[in-house]
Amino acid sequence: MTTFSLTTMILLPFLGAAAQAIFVNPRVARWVALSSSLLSTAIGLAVLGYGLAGVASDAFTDRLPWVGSYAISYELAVDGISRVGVLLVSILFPVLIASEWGRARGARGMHALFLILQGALLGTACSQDLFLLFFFWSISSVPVFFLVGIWGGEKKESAAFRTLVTSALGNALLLGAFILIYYSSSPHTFLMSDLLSVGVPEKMIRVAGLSLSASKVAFLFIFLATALRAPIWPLHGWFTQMVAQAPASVVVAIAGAVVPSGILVFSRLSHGLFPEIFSSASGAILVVGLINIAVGTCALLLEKELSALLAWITITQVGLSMIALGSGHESSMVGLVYQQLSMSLALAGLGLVLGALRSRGATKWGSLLDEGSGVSLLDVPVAGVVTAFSIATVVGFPGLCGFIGQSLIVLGGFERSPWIAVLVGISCVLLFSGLFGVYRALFFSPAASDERASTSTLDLSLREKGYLIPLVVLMVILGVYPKPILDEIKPAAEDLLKRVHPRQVVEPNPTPINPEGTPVEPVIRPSLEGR
Amino acid sequence: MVLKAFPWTLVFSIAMALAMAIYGGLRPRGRPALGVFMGSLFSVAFVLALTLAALGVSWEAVPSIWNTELFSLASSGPVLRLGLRLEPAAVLMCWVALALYLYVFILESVFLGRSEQKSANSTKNVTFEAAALGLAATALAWFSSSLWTALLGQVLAMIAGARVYLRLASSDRSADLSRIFLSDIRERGCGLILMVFGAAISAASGASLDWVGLSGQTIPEMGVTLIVLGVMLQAQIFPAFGWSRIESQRTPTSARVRLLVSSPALWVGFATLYKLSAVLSESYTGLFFGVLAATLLTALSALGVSGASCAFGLIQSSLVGMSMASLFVAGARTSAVFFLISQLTVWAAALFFRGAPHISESKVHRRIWAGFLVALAFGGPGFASAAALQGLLASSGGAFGILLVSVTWIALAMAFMRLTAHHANDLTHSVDEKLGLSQAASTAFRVSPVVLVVLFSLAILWCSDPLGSVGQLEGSLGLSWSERFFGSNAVAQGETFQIMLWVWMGLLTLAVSLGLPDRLAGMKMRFLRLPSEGYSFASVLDGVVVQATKMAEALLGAGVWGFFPAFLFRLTRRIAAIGRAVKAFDRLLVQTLEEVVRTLVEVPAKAVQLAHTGSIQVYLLFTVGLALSMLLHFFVQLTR
Repeated sequence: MTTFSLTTMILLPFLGAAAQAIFVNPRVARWVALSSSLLSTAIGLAVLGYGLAGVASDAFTDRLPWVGSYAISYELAVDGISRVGVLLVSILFPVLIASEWGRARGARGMHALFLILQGALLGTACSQDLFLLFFFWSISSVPVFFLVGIWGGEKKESAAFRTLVTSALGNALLLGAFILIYYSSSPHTFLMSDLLSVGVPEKMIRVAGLSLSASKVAFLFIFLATALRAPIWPLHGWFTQMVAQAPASVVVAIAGAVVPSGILVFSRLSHGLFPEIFSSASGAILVVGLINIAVGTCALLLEKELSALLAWITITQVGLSMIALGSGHESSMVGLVYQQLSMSLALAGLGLVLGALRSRGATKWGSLLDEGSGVSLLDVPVAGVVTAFSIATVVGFPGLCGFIGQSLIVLGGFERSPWIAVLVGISCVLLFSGLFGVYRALFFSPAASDERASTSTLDLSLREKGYLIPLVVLMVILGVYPKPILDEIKPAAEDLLKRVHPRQVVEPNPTPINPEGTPVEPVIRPSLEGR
Repeated sequence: MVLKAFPWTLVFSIAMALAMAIYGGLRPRGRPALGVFMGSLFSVAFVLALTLAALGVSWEAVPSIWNTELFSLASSGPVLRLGLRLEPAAVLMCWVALALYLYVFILESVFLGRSEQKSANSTKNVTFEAAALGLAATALAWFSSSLWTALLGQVLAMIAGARVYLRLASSDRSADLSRIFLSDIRERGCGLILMVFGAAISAASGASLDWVGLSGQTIPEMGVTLIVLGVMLQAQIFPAFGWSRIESQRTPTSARVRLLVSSPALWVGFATLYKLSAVLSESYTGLFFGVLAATLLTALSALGVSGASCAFGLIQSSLVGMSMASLFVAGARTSAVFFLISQLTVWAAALFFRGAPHISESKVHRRIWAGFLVALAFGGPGFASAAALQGLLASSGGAFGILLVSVTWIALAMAFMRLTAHHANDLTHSVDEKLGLSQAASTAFRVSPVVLVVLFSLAILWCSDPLGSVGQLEGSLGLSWSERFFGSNAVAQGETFQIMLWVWMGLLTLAVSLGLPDRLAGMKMRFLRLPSEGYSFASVLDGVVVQATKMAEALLGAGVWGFFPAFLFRLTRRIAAIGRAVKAFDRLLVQTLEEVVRTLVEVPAKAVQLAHTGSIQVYLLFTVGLALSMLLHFFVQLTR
């Protein structure tokens, strides 16, 4: 029996967004927004909790026919990997809504857009139908356009438009890929369970006189779509421009929720639908990851703008994720999923603290390392501690959640090639050096040391502490006790990896006698453990 | 019951230490009662945990009990395991650490003058927090069941150091203090990252990094090297002793601060390598010589620095480096004994020199203090070098090999001990002036190291046989004592305790005896003729010392320090140049892509725009052209 709990989880943010138009009183509207987000979060945590308790995934499957003539169905379900996607979205968005609590103008609109984004990303994580996935994924582009275009900086329109165009291009490529998959499969279907069980058949298409493999073209389209939204260097220009113009909470929403969601979707689709193609392309993906991590680290070392810092950290982490995907090892796969959660928390902590300091005029959003552009750590101890924990999570210090994911990725990468571990290690040391320089410029500014009296009220307010300190606590808990989440991710990761390196399993037919009374041959099919 | 209560009590005490440090950092002017309450909880819990550990551990060297992982926090298969294990070595080390920290607070209160005590009270809170974190870090590392847990201890040690500096900075906002703190955190952070990657690479080989059964597993050399390099950075051994070389008149570089900042990292770092000793002793000769060379350079650098505080820090680092080097050749138990002794020396010397101007005891007690401490300082490096020598002799074969190695190492040990003695002599000379030691006693301290080294060499040759194997003391009190108190699953099975410890203890007794002036007077008359204008032996030694110091200064000043800073600067500039090039390429690429997209979009867009809103002239031109073509068409039709 379907409980529609996932549907409720996804619908609540949309209802909350709609309610922003109804409740004119700003205070009431804010509380409605936060409540709907928190309710959705509660359902998401309950889904995770039931999963940890061993309840089967089928108990949370919502299934309804939608467009029957095109085999499009409304099907939502969760596995180990999508539960992590649900978790990071569920944690992040109430924090973002709380961070914009005191916005003087347009708070209702901003909250509504955050809620739409939350619902869209939850739907993306849970979708089991490709068309439905595309539906939610493309919805997620719209709020970003308005968030940047309305509340951005001086060049907000240009940044917003560029973001929308890039997203639209990515969405178009994704739709093209899904249509190719639809027409390649027989019978035609968008349902992932059907596609995973039989795979995407090899079919040739003719384009401009060339005969191309439909599955290869579809894989390429999906990769490019991910590269445009993720963002992967060199298709990251829109991201750096957007980060420079958007408010801190919007940057966190994109870097901490949209980007990880995109990576998780790509990992599911690439391993599940195109195992052979992914296996042959894994080397190229590895190289792309190494380039991203190298470019991100080198650029970060010299970065003087606070806003661009978050962009380069994101690009570096995307590179690490690509390395994890390309390594093809179980540890890397588990580390990849865990790392998305870690980075979500770290970028949220870092971005929101920097945004808070910026809003007080404590730091300049422009040049960071100029004399006097920072504050004294003794005047902003809480902000300093939160920033330190966030940076330590990014770099991968033991005891914090970033250490778990990064270590697992390096472990798997070393299996593929020792040079991966060496290059990632060098970039980590450089990353630490660069971020440490930023921390020093922010909190140990010599000029700021002499201005104690004027900066004594810069530290985080009670409300800000209320949503940032739980993030830090989560970073520590997930760093010291990652076992439940890792145990949740592992079966799903193993299942995905088995598709790339399949093991043939001979299983007896459950009805050994067919209607004619003759024995039925055993069916050989790929292992479906963990679904 | 005891075994079940111990891990929870320890984890609770660690949590209290962390909470106290964070609370104190976030609320420096907050309610002290809460801080005191948390401190009390920590103290009770920690002492209770160690007591439970002492009661619960098996002192009878039964290996099976050490295989029990008492507390498993997390595991992802055999890869990531966080847990605690009860071992005699861990219990002993933690109790010694607790005693040392108590010594800091209790004995210093006795030695300090009233005026200094008043100012010390202002920093007493933060030193208690730092001490609590330091103890928590030490306990976590020593009771760890895997390398991952030990790395957690390293993080706590870093927080302990940071906590001290942050509290001091509240009363001293100087740039110098910031510079020291940031340099410290940067180097330790890089060291920690190296250790993390070393652990990950080691785990990639399939090793569980559980301390039990580490021996015999194949671990990549890259992994072990990174871990050792990381520990060297934590211990501030050459070339990474940036912060310990920073000398400032305005910064409080008191011994207590240095101890609280540096000691936790040293104890945790040594714990990590102690538990890796089974792996270290199997191979990695190159790594051993690298660590030994770095240690010697650190010790030699101590001669070149002008400030006693800096020199003290460098000597502390070099002693820890010696302990690390000993792990490769002399075995875990021997190295642990030396580490303990060196730490006792360092702490005692630090507090002694810290409180020297204010000591109010009689001259006799002060002379005993001075003699004891100087003898310990002489004996430590000598002991370690002898242990290393013994290990090398055991691994090399043939009479010629023995002779060559013996001569090389004896010369090196002599030079090292003499140089250390020379610097220690400078330290004691300044104390001499305050304490009024006699010329004879001062000369005795300068000559006694030579005596010690000669006796060392004789002892080594006495214990050796022509084939190069050095005598082992087996089946005696020393063996069971070492196994009893330094038992650990990390220690290779069948490791026997080295005889050099007994030799060293005998020499130590001799040195202490030499330090007592009343006995010295008698020995001067009967055995040692030490007139100031008499034998030229001391002046020859002084000449050798001067030349050796000059060579060391030339080597370090021009060769090493002239090279490394310039090399690092060039490397930094190259990395910055690469970064600039990457950024410039990135900007160019983005702009080019933008131009291409803009062009691809603009051309048809303008055409569409033109067709939609376009100029009248275009429409007219189009219409006229269309009309003309139609007319032409009909005209052609008509004429056919």
